[in-house]
Amino acid sequence: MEAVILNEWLYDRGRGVELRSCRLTVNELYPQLTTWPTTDDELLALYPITPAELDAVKRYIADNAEALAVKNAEIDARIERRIAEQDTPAFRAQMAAGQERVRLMKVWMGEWKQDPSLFPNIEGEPPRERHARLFRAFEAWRMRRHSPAIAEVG
Amino acid sequence: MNGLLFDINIQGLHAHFIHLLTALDLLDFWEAANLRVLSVAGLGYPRDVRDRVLWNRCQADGLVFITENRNDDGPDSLERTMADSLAPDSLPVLTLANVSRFRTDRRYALIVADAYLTTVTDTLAGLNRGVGRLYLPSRPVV
Repeated sequence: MEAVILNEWLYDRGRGVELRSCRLTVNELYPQLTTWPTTDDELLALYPITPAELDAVKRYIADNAEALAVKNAEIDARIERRIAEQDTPAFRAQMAAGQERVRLMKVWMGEWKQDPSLFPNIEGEPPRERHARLFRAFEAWRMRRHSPAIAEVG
Repeated sequence: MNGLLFDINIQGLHAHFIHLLTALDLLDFWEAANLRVLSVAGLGYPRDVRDRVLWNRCQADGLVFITENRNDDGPDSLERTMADSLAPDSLPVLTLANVSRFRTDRRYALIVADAYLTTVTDTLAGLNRGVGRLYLPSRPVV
C-alpha cells in the first residue's frame, strides 16, 4: 500500500497512522497518552522520537479523540480475546511444564555455582551450539536427579 | 533460535525485563544462554522498515521477534505477513499485551517476565514453532 502522507510527521501505510521516522504508531502511544500516567520525559526515553514528533502524536489524538477512543477499545478487546483463545488446556499444560523446567534450571544453576566443573565449557561457542549444549547438560542433570535408573541405563 | 529482536515500540523495555528477571532470580540462566538481544537499528535497518522485512529477517536468522499488537492489518503488516508466510518451523512472535501496564504494575510485570522466560526457554528447547503470535502474559491477568 502506498503511504498516505498526513503531515510532516505522520503517515498511514496500512498499519494505522504512524510516525514517518520510526514505525511507532499512534495506537501504540495512545494508551500511554490517555489511560496510563506517563510523562513526556519517560516517553522520550522509551522511544526513539523527538519532542516535535511526540507533540504531533498528541495533536493527532486530540483532533481525532472520539474515533481513536473507539478504535483503541476495539484493539484492547481484540487483544483480550486473543489471549483468552491462546489460554487452552494444552497451552496451559505446556506453560506449566516450561515453568517447572525453569524452576529446575534455577536449582541446576545453583549447583553450577557450587561446582563449576559439573557444567560444560561453553565460552566462545556459537549461539546454536551453546544453547544445545546447555540443554543437553541440563537434561542429563535432570535425568540423574529425577530418574537415576534411567540415566544409568542410557 | 539465535536471539531476540526487540521492535522499536518496546526496545526501551529490555532493561526493565532484566530487572524483573533478577527479581525472579532467573537471571543466571538468561546470562548463561547468552542470547543475542538485537534492535531494528542494530540490524542495520532504517527505523521505518516494514513488518514483513523484519519477520523475514527473524525467520532467516533464527530470531524471536518481540513487539506489540495495536496496529492495523495492511498488506505488509505482521498479521498479514504471518497469514501468508507462516511455516511449520517458523519461530514465534512474542507480543506484549499491555506495554503501559507492564511498565507501571509490578505484579503484572513479574507475571509477564515469568511467561517471557518460560516461552523463550521453551522455544530454545524446540517448542513454539509455527504458532505465529504468543501473547505475554500467556493467560488473562485480573
